[in-house]
Amino acid sequence: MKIVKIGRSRLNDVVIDNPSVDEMHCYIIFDDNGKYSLINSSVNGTFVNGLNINREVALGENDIVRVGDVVLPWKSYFCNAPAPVPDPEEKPSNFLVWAILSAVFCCVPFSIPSIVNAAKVDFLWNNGRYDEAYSALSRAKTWFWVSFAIGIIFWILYFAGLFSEILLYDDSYYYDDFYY
Amino acid sequence: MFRYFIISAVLAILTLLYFFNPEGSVFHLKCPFFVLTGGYYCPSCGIQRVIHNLLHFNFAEAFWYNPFVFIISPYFILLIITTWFDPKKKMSKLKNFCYNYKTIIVFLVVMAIWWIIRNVFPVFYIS
Ligand SMILES: [Zn+2]
Repeated sequence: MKIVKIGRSRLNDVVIDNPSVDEMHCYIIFDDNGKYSLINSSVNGTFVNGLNINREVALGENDIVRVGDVVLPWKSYFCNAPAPVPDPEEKPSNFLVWAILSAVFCCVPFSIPSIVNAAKVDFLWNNGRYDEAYSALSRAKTWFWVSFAIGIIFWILYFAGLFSEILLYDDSYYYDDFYY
Repeated sequence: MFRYFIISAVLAILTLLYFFNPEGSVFHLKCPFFVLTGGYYCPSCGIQRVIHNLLHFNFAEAFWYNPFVFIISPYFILLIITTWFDPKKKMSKLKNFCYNYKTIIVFLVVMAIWWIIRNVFPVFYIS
């Protein structure tokens, strides 16, 4: 048995970002006998072949299912192939600028994995490897925050040390010749 | 909103760097990599002095503090413009170029070469 939850919320198996679709709009169940059934849980209505269904209905292979304004390619949800294909135009916002900024202004060694992963996002996305693109993006973000945090912590400690040096030794503090 | 935040942050940093010469000031931001490795330069060491000198129109001096920053600056400017300042997506070809993994590999290779050169052959002394 396989249950596919459909709606606008990220918690669903199939996320449809459309205002006419409810957070939790409906379910489609593929039972162990090989039969499909559709369960509506939205006040906006789920339509099978144009008819509004109230609760539960058996689905045939050729039935057309519409939620709100969106017609579902629902049979593809039950293939082994990754079912809901994201719109290729909705490329996730890339993190490259931030990765390179952190390389220039923070702690370089930790920015390099961020740049490498940000570089993969577009490549993977354009090849239809959407899941991998998303995970590369989140790795790019993680490494960015690591180098950002290290930079900030370093500078807080550095200035704390600098101030205590000035306070303790007054005018005898020194600084060497190298600056960032 | 976000764009205005970026612009004002950049202007604030530029103003600070205009009035404070990083050379000889205690209140510069020290490079974590330089301090933690006990004196190895990172690829962007010297960037504060580059900007300070640029703002005072000392172009030659600015260049020799960090030539790498000059070499990558066209790429960096294009990257920022196509990412944040092109809402109508008129420059999508340029954006694709900037985000192409081959471009980024070239960027990383140039950065690695510069990183090695400046530490192994200290031609580009900073102080
Ligand atoms: Zn540095």
